[in-house]
Amino acid sequence: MLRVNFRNKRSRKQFIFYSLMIALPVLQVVIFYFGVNINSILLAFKNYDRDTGDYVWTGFEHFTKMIKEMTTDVTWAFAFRNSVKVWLVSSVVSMALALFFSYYIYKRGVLKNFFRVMLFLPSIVSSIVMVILFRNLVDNFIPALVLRLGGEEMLGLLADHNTTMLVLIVYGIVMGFGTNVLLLSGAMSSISTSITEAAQIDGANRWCEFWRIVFPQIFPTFLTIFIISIANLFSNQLNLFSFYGSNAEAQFSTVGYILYKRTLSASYAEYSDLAAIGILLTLIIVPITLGIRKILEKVGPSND
Amino acid sequence: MIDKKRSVKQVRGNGRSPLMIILFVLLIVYAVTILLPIVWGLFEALMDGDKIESTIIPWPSDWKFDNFFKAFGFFYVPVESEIGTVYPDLWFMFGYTMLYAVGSAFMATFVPCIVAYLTARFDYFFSRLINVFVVVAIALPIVGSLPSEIQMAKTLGLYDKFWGIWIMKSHFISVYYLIFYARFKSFPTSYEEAAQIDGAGHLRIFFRVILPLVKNLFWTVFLIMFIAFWNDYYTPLVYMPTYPTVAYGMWYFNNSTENVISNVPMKITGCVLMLIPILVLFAIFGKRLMGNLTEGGDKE
Amino acid sequence: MKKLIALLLCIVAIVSLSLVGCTPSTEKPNTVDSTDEFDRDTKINTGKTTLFISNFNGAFGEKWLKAAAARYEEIHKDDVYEPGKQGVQIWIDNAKQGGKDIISGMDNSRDAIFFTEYVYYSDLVSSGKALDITEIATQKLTKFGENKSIADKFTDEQKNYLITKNDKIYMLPHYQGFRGITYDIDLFESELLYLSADKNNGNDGFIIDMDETMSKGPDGVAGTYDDGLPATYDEFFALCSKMKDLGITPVIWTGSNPVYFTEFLASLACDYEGLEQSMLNFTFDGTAKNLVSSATESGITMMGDTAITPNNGYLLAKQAGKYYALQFADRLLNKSSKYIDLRSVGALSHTEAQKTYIASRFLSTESTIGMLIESNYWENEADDMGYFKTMAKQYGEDRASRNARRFGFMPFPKATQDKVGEGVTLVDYLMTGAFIRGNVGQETGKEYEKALALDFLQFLYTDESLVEFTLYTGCPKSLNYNVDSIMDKVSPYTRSVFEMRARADIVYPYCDKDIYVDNASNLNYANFYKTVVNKGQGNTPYQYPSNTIYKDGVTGLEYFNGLSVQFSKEYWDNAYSRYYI
Repeated sequence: MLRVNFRNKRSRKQFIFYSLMIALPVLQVVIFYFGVNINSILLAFKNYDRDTGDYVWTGFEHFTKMIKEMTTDVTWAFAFRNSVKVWLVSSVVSMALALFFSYYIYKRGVLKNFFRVMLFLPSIVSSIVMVILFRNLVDNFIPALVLRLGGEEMLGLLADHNTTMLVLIVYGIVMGFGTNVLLLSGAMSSISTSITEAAQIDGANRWCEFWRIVFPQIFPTFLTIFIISIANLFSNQLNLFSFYGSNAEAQFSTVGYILYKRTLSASYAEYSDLAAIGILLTLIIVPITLGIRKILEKVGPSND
Repeated sequence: MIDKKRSVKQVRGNGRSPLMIILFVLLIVYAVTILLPIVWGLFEALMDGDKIESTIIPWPSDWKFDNFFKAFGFFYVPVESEIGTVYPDLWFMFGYTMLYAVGSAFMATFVPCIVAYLTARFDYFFSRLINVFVVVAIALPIVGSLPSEIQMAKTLGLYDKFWGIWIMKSHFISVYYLIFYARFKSFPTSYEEAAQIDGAGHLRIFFRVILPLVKNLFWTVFLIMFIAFWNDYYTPLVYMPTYPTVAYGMWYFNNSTENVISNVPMKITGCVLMLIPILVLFAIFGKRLMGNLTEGGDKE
Repeated sequence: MKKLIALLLCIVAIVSLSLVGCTPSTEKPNTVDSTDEFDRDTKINTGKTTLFISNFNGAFGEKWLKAAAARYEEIHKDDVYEPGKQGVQIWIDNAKQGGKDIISGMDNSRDAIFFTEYVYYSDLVSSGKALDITEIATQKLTKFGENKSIADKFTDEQKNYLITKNDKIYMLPHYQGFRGITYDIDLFESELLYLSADKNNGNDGFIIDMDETMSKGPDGVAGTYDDGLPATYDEFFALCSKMKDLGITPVIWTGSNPVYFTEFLASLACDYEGLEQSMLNFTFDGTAKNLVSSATESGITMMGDTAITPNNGYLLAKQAGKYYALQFADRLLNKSSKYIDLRSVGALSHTEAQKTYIASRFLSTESTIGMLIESNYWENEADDMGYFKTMAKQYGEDRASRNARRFGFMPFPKATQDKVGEGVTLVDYLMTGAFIRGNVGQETGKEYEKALALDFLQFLYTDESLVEFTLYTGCPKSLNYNVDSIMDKVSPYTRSVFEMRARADIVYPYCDKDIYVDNASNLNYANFYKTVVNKGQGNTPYQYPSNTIYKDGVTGLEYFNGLSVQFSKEYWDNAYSRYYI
């Protein structure tokens, strides 16, 4: 790496440059991340004392309690299952689609300008607005229309438990494309034209071109997006709060939703349990995230 | 213009490819899913909210175009200032939003970019530490830290000030740090070495050599952050109570108990009203911006 | 790209320059028909001393506060609180902020007094952010011509709860909310939906004309306001099928907020259990008398009296009241009998449900709806939303205005015949409160603020103010006071609420024990309806009886038995063992 390549004097200069440049951002994080959050994180090791209004040290009490709860309570089992399910579907389906759609735009397919706008539209529109429109459409408009057209009285798609999960997942995928498509097609646009042209001369078809040339070139971006989705696995709320407020059904809840909802209604004493859950979840997900990143960096396609 | 000719040629080529046809069909299905609620919303926004009958099925008999004027009139947030309560309307909110979103988006793009550059290109232990720290911080949910955040903002004098919020938003605990990091990591070291041989300093290398290489990514992230801040009602609500943004206005409008707007059509009208400025902005800049960012082939 | 950046920067520059030059309008934008009878300043009056009040303006609105403010301002119009100013201006900051949000930000607020709901009182006290108001709460209100104190108007439960271990009071109770069933008196009269005293009168037990003697109703006493109303669940469902036969949809409620129905069921269960047994769910101290040892298709067998302590609180999941309430839900939500409007398990908001309910009689597109499951404040909320006004415009003042419509608060039907004649138990679930910011008056130049805030708060709890509150909201304040003087001025609905309240025991779902206050959100009374049922796909968690029974095909019995699976001994040990005695 760089450091090895330079002689001593340079490396000192380099170190000074590095320190000066990184000092301010680090200071910002020290103040606005550590300064602000450290107490909230430490709540996991404390109990609320109502007489003094302070939190006092208690050790790992909340951790053992929450580990027991998370491993025995059916609601948590469902939440973990749903979170993983949502992640699998959204990471496999959504990322694959984002990848191919980006490719479609990159290759200037039919109506690419229209689709580009469409793909980005949900990200532009505020999520409150989109949720209000979508819920009214599927839960109020569609049943009313069916009834008006002489059909049976029916439940809306988000109200009917047979379709709720599917609709939530599809909604999450559809609304989540925008940024991924932007990042991926942006990365594709940086691929040097000489490489793709050479491939075309070789007579590679679209499928081959995609896998042999384009994908390896954008792999670092793809990998990062994928890794981020793992890191966010337990914070994904599946838009449940936007649609149902605090009243989503337990059978459809994700871990992120449960934690968020419980935080909203928690009393001071209950914060400690929630902080403990937060740390436990982090302890699970960070090693997985970093591990997968290590592995994929090793086995992924090389772009050299 | 050249672009048009090229795409005609490309289209023919694509037409033969099964992959492109499948993608086309999928994209059509996708577009319909997106457009349905919006189209329904556009019609519903024109219905008479005072009607007792359910107006959930928009019926093109009695469109109320003055819904928009009515909604516009209610699109305000009362704000306390030295001269008493003032009522910024949509234009003011639009201005505040631009200041908030452009400034914050720039900081929230620039800082992760520069930190990612430093950590990706300089292999100190501290760099690796930051890299792991960001992943941990992204994954770790924090509960109930809002009061101490507000307290901090007030102590440092950042509360209710634009530059204050810009500073608070300029942190690198962001997924885009990781994106920048991946990009910087993928450059061969020869770039800096060549520049260094030419006698350029580190700062110069960063601004003259490195930054142009990630220009597209930089503006992509900027755009994403801009839109995120555009739609963010919560930060202005909590930290800039006297500078309500459009999203804050929407939130206020949506929670309003004023009779005139407390019905489904008027709430939808409010939604549509909020959509209009961003759609106009998008129509003006979108093509240029996204064209630059997403199109393959020609490079600037 | 450079052009683009330049353009963006230009816009920002122009915008910021134009903003520097001007300030937003000081006139409140037009608010068309939202004017009420109060003509209040829309600007802060710099000639007067201003007292800022935060008001949760949900279903109860702000008229009550405007009315009281006007009286207070008039009384004190010549008083001087700070140099150079004369008189006082009460400024209302409406906010839909619950107790938790208010506590977290109140020390930085300009508001001196807060009226809100869902307050964790123990958190409020221990946060140290609320002012000690013991003095104004306990001194006799002699300066207002009364010889009792505000605390004298508390119920025993409220005294237990609001007076801390150090004999201090930091919060006064605000308004009251009870979940229950509303019925349309006009509809009941025109369609003869009352039950007859003679069960075998040839009309399935329903009256044939309004002159017929009606049944005694759930209170078991003839000649009272509940005569002819269903006394038992069986009679209630007979009423539902009678309505179905007449083409009336029996019941509607909000579908988008399933907690409403859950809280209704919980109230129904409390009505069965009575005050003392219901309070066990929060105090975990006493003897449970109605625990079910086993529940099957053929019925239930009961356990003997069981002492309840924090150690075995999970046993309360077996309370018979819960079993019967879930049986009620099971019958109501039966798919084939179609007693409910389907939107009750759909996405209908609570205000849309109110609107649909009151409008259904006039609309050809809707079938008439007989009953609404809501809270006692719904009529006021619907009025604030303008529904009655709009309907009066369309269908005539004499038929459709708020004054022309007659609704009633239906006493809970009893689960079994032997319970008929027992008292009514209501649950005030809103956890409302009024409190003063602890650092009030500490700002330089605002030394007057503390005394003023205390005085105004006390003023709002005089009998006159309490009665006025009821006059403007149609709702009860959560204190003991006499409303006889205005009963001829309020709606029939309000009258029926007060008639029922007068003879009801009221459950306040909270207690000051550690186990409760430390776990206030988990032990919330609607959270006791978490269940686990295996419908062939493994154990599944459910939370909302309305949705679960209707959509997931879980029966009331399965739901009830699942409560004990969720609230198992292991679960309880893990969650609450530190409170064991």
